Amino acid sequence: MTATTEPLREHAGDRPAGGRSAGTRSIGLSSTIASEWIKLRSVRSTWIILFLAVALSIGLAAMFSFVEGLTLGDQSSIDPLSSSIIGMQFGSILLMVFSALAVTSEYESRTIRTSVSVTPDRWRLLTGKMVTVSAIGLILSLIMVLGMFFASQIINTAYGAPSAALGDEGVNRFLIVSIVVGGLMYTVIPLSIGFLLRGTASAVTISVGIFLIPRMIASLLPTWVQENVLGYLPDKAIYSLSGIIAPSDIYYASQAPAIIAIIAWIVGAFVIAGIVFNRRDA
Amino acid sequence: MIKAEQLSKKYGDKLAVDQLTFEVKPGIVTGFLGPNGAGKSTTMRMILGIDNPSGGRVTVNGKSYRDLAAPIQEIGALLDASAVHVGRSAWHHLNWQAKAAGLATRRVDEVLELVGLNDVAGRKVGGFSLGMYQRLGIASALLGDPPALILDEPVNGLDPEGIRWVRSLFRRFADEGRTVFVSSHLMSEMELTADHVLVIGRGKLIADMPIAEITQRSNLNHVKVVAPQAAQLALLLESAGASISQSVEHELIVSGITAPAIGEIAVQHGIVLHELAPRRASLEAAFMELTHDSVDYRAAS
Repeated sequence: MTATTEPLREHAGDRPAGGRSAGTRSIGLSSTIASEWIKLRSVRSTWIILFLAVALSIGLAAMFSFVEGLTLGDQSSIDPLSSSIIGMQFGSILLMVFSALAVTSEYESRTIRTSVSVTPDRWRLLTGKMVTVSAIGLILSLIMVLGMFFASQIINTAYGAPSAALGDEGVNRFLIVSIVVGGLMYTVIPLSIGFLLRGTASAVTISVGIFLIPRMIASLLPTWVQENVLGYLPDKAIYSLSGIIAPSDIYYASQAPAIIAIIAWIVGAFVIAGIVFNRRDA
Repeated sequence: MIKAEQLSKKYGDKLAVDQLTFEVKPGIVTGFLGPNGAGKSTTMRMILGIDNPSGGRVTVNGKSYRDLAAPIQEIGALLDASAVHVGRSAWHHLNWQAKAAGLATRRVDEVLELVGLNDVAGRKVGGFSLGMYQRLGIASALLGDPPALILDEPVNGLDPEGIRWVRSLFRRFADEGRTVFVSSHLMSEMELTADHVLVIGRGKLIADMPIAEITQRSNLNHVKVVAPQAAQLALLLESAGASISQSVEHELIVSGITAPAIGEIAVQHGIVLHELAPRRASLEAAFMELTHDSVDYRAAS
C-alpha cells in the first residue's frame, strides 16, 4: 500500500479558491435521501431481511390457505381476506427490524457521528432517513400484500373455497389500506423508536411490542379499555380501516377516528424522534 | 480557523471540558495534547456539532458548525477510525458521505487514491487492518477538500511508513495555508508533527504556546556544574537568584539561571569550572510535568 503524493487540489478549478462555497448549492433533502439509499443498499443485511420478509409473508399466507383448505369441511367459513393477511405477521416484524436497523446500526457502529457531521441539520437527516425507509416499506408492502392476496386466492379457488378478486366489495380498500398504511406504520414507528432508544434489540422489542402486545393481552383488559383504547393502537387501527375488523367487533374503530389515530401515530413518532435527536448529543 | 470561547461540557456532575478558550490558526499544525480522559475528544465533538456544549461556544470560520451550509467542505474530521459499518465497502462508505455533501462521485476515487486504498476500494471494511481503517478515516476527512482538518489520534495503528506519510500530509496541508488540528496523548508524536500545542488536563487549558517554548519554560531545565570550589560557587549563584537543587561534593545542579551567566560569575570570582552543561528537559518530561496534577487515572507506583 503506497500513498501517492500528488497535489490535493486536483479539482481546485471547480470552485473559487478560499471561498469553497460553490459546491453547496446542490445540497438538500434529495442529497440526504440519495445518501441514505446508498447506506441501505450497500449492506447485505438489507437485502436478506427484505427477501425474508417477502418469502415468509407470502409463504405463510399460502401455507395458511392450504391448511385451511385441507382441514375445513365447511369451507364457506373461510374469510378470504383474513387468511391472506396472516402472512403479514411475519412480514411486518421483518419490516420493523429493517426500519429500526436503518438507524440503530448507525448508533452501534458509531457512524451516526459521521452522519451528523456530514449533515448537521438533524431534521433533514431524520426526514431523509424516514423518506427512504418508508418508500422501501411501501414498495415492500405492495409486493407482500399483493403476493399474499393472490397466493391465497389461487389456493382457495383450487379447493373450491370462497375467494376474493380485485374489484370485489371491500377488496380494493383492504389492499390499499394494507399496502399504504401498513407500509408506513411498520417503518415510521420502528425507525422513530430506533432514534429514541439507539439499540437494535430494544428498538425492535418495543416496536414489535407496540403492535403485538395489545393483541395478545386484549382479552385481559377491562371492557372500557377494550372498547375505547385498543381500537386506536396501530395494529387494530390498521385492521379496522382495512375492514379485517368488522364494525360489530369490540375493537372496531370507525373510519375517521381510525384515520386520525394512524396519522397521530405517524406524525407523533416522527416529531418526538426529531425533537430528541435534535437536542441530544449524537 | 477554529475558535473556542469559554467552551464547557458537563456529563452529569463531572466537568469534562472546563471553560476552554483558544484559537486554532491556519498555516500551522496545532497539536492538542493531554492525558487520556483530559477532554480532547469531547472538545473535538463539540467543534463538529456532534455534542452540544453545556456552556460557551465554538465556531469554525466564524460560524457554529451546525450552521455551516457545506460543513465537510469547510472542515474535514477523523474522530474514530473504527466508526464504520463493517459490512460496507470502503468505496460505499465514502460514497454515502459524498452524496450527502453534494460532492461528485469522482471525489471518492480521488481520496481513495490519495490514501493508497484504491486497490481495496470494493472490499468490505470488516476485513481491514487497523492501519487501513486509519487511512479510510483520513480519506473521509479529505473528501470535501476542506481548508481545515481536525483529527483525533490520527497515527494510532499506523505502521512507521504510514506515520511518516501522515506527518508529511499534515505538513503539506499546513504549508498550503490550511488549518490542521491534531490530538495526541503522546508528546513525542507532537514533537515531530506540531508547530504549536494546546495542552489540556481535566478539561482545563494548561498551555497554549509554540512547541519550542514548552521545553524552555519547563522547571526541569537545569545546568550541571562541576567545580572544585562548589560550595563557594553555590553561595554566589544563590545570591544571583538561582536555586541549587542538588549538591554532591563538587557537583551542583542549578536551575533558574543560564549556563553563560554561571560561567560569567565563575570568571569574575576566579572559580575554576570543570564542567558546565545545560540540560534541556525532554518534551516528554516537560509534558509529564505540565499534566502531572491533572491525570485522571494513574497506575499506583
